[in-house]
Amino acid sequence: MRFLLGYGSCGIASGANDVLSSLEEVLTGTGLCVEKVGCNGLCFAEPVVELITDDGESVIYGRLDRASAKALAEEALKGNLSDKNRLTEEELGFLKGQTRIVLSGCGKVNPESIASYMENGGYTALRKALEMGADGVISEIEKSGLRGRGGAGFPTHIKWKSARASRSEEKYIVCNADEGDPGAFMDRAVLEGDPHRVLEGMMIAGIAVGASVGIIYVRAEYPLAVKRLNLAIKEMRREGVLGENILGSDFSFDFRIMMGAGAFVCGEETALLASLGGNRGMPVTKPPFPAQKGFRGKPTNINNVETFANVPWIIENGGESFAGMGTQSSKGTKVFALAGKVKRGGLVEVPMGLTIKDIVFGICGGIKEDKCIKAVQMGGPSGGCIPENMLDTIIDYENIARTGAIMGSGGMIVMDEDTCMVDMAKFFMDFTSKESCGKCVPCRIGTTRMLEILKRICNGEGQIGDVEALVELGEGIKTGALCGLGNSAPNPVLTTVKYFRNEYDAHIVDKCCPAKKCTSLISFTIREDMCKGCSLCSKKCPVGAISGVVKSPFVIDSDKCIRCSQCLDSCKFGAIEKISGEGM
Amino acid sequence: MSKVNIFIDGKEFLADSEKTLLDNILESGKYIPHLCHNKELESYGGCGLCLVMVDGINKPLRACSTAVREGMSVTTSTPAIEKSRKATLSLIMSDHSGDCKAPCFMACPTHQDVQAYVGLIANGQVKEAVEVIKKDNPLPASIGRVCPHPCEEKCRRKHLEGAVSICALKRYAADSYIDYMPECRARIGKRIAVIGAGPAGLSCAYFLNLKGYEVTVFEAQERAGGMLRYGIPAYRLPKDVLDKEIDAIVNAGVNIVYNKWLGKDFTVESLKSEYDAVFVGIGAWSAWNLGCKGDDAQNVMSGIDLLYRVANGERPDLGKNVCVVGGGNTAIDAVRTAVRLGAENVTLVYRRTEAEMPAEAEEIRDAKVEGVNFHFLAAPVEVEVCDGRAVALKVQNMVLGEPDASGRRSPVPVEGSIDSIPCDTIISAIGQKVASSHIDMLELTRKQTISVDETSFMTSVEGVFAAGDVINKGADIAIRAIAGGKYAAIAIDSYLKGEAFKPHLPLYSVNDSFNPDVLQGTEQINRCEAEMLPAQERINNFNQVAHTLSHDVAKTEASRCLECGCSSVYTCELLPLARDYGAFSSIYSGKKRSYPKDKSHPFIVRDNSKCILCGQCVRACKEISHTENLGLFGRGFATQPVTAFSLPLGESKCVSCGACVISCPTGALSFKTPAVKNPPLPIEESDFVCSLCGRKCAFKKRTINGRTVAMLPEKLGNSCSLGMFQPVIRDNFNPDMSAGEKSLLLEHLCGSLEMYVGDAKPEELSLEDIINL
Repeated sequence: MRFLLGYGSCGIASGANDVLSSLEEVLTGTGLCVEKVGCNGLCFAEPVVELITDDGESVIYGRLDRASAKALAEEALKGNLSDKNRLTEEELGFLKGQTRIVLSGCGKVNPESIASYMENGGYTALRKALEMGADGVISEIEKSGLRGRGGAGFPTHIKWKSARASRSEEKYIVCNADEGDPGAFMDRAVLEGDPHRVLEGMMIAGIAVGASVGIIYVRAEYPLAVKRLNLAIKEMRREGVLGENILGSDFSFDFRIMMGAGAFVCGEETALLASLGGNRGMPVTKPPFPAQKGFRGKPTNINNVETFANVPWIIENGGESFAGMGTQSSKGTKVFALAGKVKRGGLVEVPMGLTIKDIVFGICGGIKEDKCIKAVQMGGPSGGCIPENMLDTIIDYENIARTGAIMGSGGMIVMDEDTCMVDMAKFFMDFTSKESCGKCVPCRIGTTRMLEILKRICNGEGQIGDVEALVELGEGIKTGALCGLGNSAPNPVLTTVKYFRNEYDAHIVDKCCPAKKCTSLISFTIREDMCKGCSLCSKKCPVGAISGVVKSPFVIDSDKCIRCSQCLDSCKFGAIEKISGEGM
Repeated sequence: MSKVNIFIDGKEFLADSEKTLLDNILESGKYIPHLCHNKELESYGGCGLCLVMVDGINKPLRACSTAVREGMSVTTSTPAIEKSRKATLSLIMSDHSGDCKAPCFMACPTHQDVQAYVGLIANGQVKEAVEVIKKDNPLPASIGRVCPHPCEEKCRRKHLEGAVSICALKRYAADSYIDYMPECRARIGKRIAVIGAGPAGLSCAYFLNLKGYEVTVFEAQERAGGMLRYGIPAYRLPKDVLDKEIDAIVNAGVNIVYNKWLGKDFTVESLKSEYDAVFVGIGAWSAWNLGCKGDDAQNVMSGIDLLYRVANGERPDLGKNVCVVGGGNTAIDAVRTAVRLGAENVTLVYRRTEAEMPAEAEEIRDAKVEGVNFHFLAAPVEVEVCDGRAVALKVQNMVLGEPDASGRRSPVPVEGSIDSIPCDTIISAIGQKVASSHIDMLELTRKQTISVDETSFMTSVEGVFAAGDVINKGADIAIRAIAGGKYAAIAIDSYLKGEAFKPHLPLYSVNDSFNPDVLQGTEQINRCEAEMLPAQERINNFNQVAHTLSHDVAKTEASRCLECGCSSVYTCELLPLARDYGAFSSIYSGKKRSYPKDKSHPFIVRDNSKCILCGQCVRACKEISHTENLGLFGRGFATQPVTAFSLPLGESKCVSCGACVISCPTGALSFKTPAVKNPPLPIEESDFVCSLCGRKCAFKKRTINGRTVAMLPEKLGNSCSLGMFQPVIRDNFNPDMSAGEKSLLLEHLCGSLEMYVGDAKPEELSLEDIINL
């Protein structure tokens, strides 16, 4: 019997350490131990333990705490598979609907053990790649149709070919692990859960382009990933899969880890290279491309974590198998990070070609509290909003781009009827304007001006013409900005204007927030006919805005009210109403 | 160096493949806008202005970061690119907190370059100051005595001890060189008729004369000056001062004919047929009657009538009790004149309170000192007449009600509250109107003034222009009449040349959200006022009350100028682009970044509020001086270039090579000289070879009136502290500098010396040694 505990940062944050100590207490002296594995993507159910019985049956328990973990372990030792905390069939549909390549080791292998990775087939692809040679590897990648998973979807083999074609004694492989989109966490999950897969992918890229140094640029906010990467590299050296003349070949390779200081723009490859070089993280114009002139001015191939994590599978299973999945233009699988108002949030890896609806409703079970879905934000701050009536959009790079959103790194934020689209656009614009590096005018000043307009719309001070100004600025920034951050920063605004223009107009013309979210545009009232005069709301009110006599209806002083919504949440009789626009 | 053929807007050009596309385009003689590029620095791609379309590529490329290749075909301008450039420039302007010109300049109706002449006065260059003044004002000695100075209202020194005494400084400079006249252009054989030799007419005549026109002024009175002579009492403006200024205009070639009346001796129509253009500046010389019962009594007169008679040498006996109705400057002139004519009880009756009075506070103060009574919140309702003579003024007492259209609170009668003020003379000074019955041909407004276009000052009749009190809104201050005359002269010139009328001011960046906190730390120097005659020495004569500032006081007062206007206004690269593209900051208005100026360095002033983040200073500091003293700090909108540890530049490890200043396209980094002030003035540039060391670097020498104000090496790479600043210090040396200032100067002068002279030992040199090299 094996106990696999999800022990990524996410699991630890939701209480995996408590579960660990509880399990270890029970297992002491039994000869069994708890295996700490990476996150299997079941974010909605963490902390998670997978119990594998001696006859190979897998049972997943979720939402554990000290007591429930103890109970399940004790029962298991007695041979009983308790139903308590066990994920339902419906919930397990989350995993069953997935096809895992990148995430195949997450939750399965012990990320702190090279042996565990090797038992699961690790480093066989490297061995095979060494036999295939550079041309063989590149041709396999070309056959697979793999495209960059960082967001732009540039064909990987072209990048590799180009770096290979650049003549230089010194070349570099850089792994972009500067995952910065709010709501995206697949790279962290892979680095924490299956670091060897990424490192193996990088080494294969090294064979392909003729590089002997791999640099992982990982954000300092991912300490566990850094720790596990360091450990993995140490173990690789020990096992002889790293260093000089690897596995008896004439291929030599080594790794270096660089920690980023958290600037979003450093996810842009030229800014990343600047940061690697010890300079301020600011993008430069291309060409020259990194493949010609990158780190230290030498040819450098940069790929994202997920791209590298696909490579060992492709080498092992052949490019054609990979290309067998997906759509005409977008092959293989893609990992999505589901967050927001969705029932089962977490990591979802599916073949390209499914629809957004398949993921949100099929795999993730739909919307929390069975509310109505309004839109899905794809691609984070650089992406866009896809409205409910377009959820049948087939997921591949081109189809998503056609909606005005982007595939991006694969963040999907699901929004229900309570989300104000203007407020949402404001949130992302606030993010990008602060993360602009300050170099080019359209991005530095343009995003600030857009944010100012969005703020005033949300404050009920919007003017006729504001939406047109947003669109004009947005289009200008898209064409005029220097790098991908600026080129895509207006997307959340442009797509919400495109699909939710009525909400903008309601804010500007009617001074009404249809989702009742923008605090300047809402007020709270107590319905006389429903208020029982229990006084609970007035006790909850942090500013003393509610007054009345017990057993008769209470009233809210709108001038004092800070729109914190605590009264609404506390009222047991549904007597408190949130209103916006007319009647305020 | 390998050459490739490229096509720039269809024209073949043999390009250097080692240079960027932008440098090749510029070398071909084609200009495309750019603000962050310098061919000696690494390409940056920040400003985004140098966008071009390259055949075969469907999106615009930044030419500064594009390499050329054989056969490349480039289009440098398309509607989309021009739109993008305008948007980018508008965004830059929306965050440019600079004042191209100081607020005083912007506030002055005739836009005199206050900062320039005040700065010159501070430097002791009074003659040059007058030259600057007379570019925009033909009567500065007179105006310097009577102007209500809207410039001082906007002076930012107001936030400290008080505005700079700009008006008094102008008077000081103008008095010092009262005969000065700028050189006139050669006669161009065109004749202009000007009707009225008041401030508007004289101003128009003066400026047309300077432009080479033959000007004849038709004046109804015996002397010229208009209201300056007949409406302003001599104790404010002595007539000999006015005479001298008018004489200078006449001596410069303007012909004035006297005693010629419009409507009697000639008409607009008759002049129009004889002259190439006609200017009407006849003022507003009719007074409004009190408009109440008894206002036609013989001892009821108008304020301007009284002032006219006194100006003509009459000394009318007004009796013991004089009552003046009105709250404007004419009312104040009337009460103070009445005091001087011997009246014992002079009362000013005004229907609102002192706070609402249109008269200048200083004038009200002077009237009070001279013993005038003020009867506020009272409106005349009847002149009590006995035997045809007024004996008292009955006034209705008022209270202030709601604000009216002008924003002033309207007086409301207090029912039944009526006072009677006994008087021997009643003077009405409640406003003036145009004697419009004399005017032929021209369309009038409802107020019976001549209707003119605000920009061109042209009337309804082509070729006939008008300005001053006679137009649109009617009577106003003298400097506005002078401004009208000046801009009408410019419009007449355009009209006769067949050119389009120009706006009075081109586009300027204005810091309209000035934060006074940035003035903290300014050394306190109190405002100097002109010395005044004591009240008892004033009240029985018409002697001038206020003295002209002394030389020393003027210098100190001028040194209080905060130099708000940009010292790089004549060299700025952003401003002409913004003008070309009509990139107003209001297009994308929003928050502007604002930082205090850093004046800690002896040669360089940093003003990050004007920084457009082109990054050239940072690159120059890294690539040229190799000190990396400057770097970008902060993210997004808050990004700014700072020194290491954000030290003041003068205390940082700056080697004073000046490369950052040369590369700065705006006034965010500017040179300063050791002179007290660095007035922004048009610059002349000449070639110069430095001989201070063996390198013999080529420079562009920038001079103002022969003084070196900046040295620009032809190659950024030849920036050096000695070559750039030694000539500047030599030409602007201020011997009054403290020992500390001198040693700081020396230290920075030798800052980058070792980069070039190797064995130089700055500590063995004295400042004088270096200056005299």
